[in-house]
Amino acid sequence: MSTLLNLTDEDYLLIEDAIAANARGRAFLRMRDQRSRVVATDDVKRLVRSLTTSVKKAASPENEGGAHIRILRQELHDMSVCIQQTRSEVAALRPDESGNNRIMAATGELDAIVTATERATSEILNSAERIQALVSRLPRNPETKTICEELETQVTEILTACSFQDITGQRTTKVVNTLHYLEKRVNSMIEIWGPEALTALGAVERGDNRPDAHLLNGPSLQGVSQDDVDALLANLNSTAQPEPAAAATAPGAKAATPATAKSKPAAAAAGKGEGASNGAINQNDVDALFE
Amino acid sequence: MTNLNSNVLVVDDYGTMRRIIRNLLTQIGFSNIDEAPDGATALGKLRERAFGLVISDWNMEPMTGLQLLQEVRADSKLKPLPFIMVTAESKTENVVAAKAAGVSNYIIKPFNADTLKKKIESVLGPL
Repeated sequence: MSTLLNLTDEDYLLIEDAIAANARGRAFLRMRDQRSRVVATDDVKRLVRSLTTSVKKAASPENEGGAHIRILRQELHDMSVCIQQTRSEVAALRPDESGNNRIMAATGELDAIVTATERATSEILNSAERIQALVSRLPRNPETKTICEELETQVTEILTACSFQDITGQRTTKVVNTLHYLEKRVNSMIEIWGPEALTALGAVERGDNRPDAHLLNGPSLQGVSQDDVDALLANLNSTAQPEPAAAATAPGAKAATPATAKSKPAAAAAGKGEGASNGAINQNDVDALFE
Repeated sequence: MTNLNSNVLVVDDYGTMRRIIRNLLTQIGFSNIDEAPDGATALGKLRERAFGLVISDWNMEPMTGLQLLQEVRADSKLKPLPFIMVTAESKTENVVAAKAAGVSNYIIKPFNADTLKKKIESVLGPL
């Protein structure tokens, strides 16, 4: 039995060049390529038909594979819903247009708590130490000895009780670190989805339905000082009596207050130059505003 | 009897705690009390002059109280120094680790003056 002859690449190219040396040979090569493409296309079409048939067969209700595909489709749908919900939640956490970031804000509030408790603790310690010093100066006689000792014991109790600040500080730091971690993860998700895609999801319900919810922000890190408040009330007192109910519920009140308050220190400072009776008010004046 | 004139080093990153412990030590009778806000500063002070007792927090940065303790025990000159850990770390594994590192005693925050005094006495002897 004779074996088929195989050509080397070099032989193939030599023969092809020889055939392509004249117009008739080149026409032969074109026709050969065209017929080869037709055969290849027929093969691909046959393969696609075969796959389509297989998929349709597998998806048919009578087929066990069809049930699997239905389950798979349902699972994909559920996943899609979950992803959509997650996007909405991430959108709720992203910084809004005014630059507010809830996680950052929460972190700031916690830092403020630590600072405030540290300051308060320091003041308590100052007072306790002053009492301690005063007690040590009291003359000790049979009548006062017991009282002095009891005072010293109580001062010691105050001192040791102040160690709560260390404990709460450590716990708060843990929470702050967790918030930082969450913030990084949320930012990563925002990067994955793209801030524009999340913006399109719109505003999220904040959950407080009280009529004055827009005024209830708690202690603020950027709040006005007591001087600002005094100046603002003095200004209101000298112009017109405010309508408390309207001020508390008017949607515009929130936006108007900070701007007004911020402009007041300058006004108050100017007022001081005009005379003591023209800007300064005392606590009684403030009280009168609320009667 | 314990020498109340010996130097005591209080190590804690919270100024409030250093102040409280300093005050309690003064009430007990110690008169030479120094402070450090972290382990590295404490180690520097310990190598500068002689101390009779270290009272240290655990959770500090960058060097923790446990690391400070290990450094102290690894230093031939500081090795015998009494070292009391005062910390909010209250898990058994913490106490075990501190003991393994050579801590002299262990006080869990929050604590009271009586506890501090008793632990010092257990390390240094009657006050």
